[in-house]
Amino acid sequence: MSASTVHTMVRYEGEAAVIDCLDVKLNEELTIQAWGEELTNTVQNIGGYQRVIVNFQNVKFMSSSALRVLITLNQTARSRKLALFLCSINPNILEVFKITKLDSLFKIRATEAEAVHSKL
Amino acid sequence: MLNIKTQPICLFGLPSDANGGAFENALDGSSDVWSAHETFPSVSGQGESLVEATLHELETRGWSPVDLFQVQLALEEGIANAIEHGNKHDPNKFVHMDVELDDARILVKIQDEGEGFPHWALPDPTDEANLDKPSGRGVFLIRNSMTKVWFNDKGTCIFMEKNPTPLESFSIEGAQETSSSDESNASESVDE
Repeated sequence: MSASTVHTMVRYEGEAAVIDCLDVKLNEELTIQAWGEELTNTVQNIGGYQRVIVNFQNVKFMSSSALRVLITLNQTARSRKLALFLCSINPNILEVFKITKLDSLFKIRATEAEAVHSKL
Repeated sequence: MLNIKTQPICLFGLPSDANGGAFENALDGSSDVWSAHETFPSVSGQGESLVEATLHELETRGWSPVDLFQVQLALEEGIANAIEHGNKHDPNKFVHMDVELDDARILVKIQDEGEGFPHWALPDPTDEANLDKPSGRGVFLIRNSMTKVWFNDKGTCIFMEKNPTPLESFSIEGAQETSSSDESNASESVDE
């Protein structure tokens, strides 16, 4: 992995900041670490937005290390009084959220549009 | 170095005290058996070539995308545990990984050189009190992804076995839905 590799991109859709995850696989430790740093940096520094959406449309595989990052990110968002949504999760990965019961911890929406329009 | 063979490597012809006879019906070479071994240092990203080769082999044998995802998840979590929790990232300690498979079953053994861990006393990550804890889901996911999972007593070696999900377990549009005892395998993702 190159040190300059970008793992996320941030867009602004109305009143929401949308973070696109660019990796197809979130399984390798250094990749997950860098991805997590980018997510955390965005959530910690976002200004003027109460809604942050992490879009997983590109992601086909995710390990428990990535779940670890998301749980920590959720705590960071909570401390900053931001509403964190996850959307467009691959069915196989969504099943991982369900069996770990993390679907009850996160605000998960099927599509980005649903995440944009969900109540805070 | 990845070492692939098309004959069984007697991976699970192990002493009975190592696996409790769990693999007494191990692959016997009567069908088209594929096996591979790799020993790699405890460095992030290692073992990926064996994971990829395993998934490719299962895919050519017609295993479903759901099963492939679950096998990948179990292998990735097993390797990560061995590197992170077993060998504690010590590059002088190695992970030893064996895979043996045929059309109807995959057997996996992942061994580290660490101190072991109390695999019998892992907290349930789905307990309400543990949901917000970042760690502690690796073994849980392995157990949910594979058909059977064992450890040696010390906890330095994990054994996994999986059979492919029967085709009739998947919902087919226009067909009468069949029941399955494993809902996690049965309901989703045939359209990937």
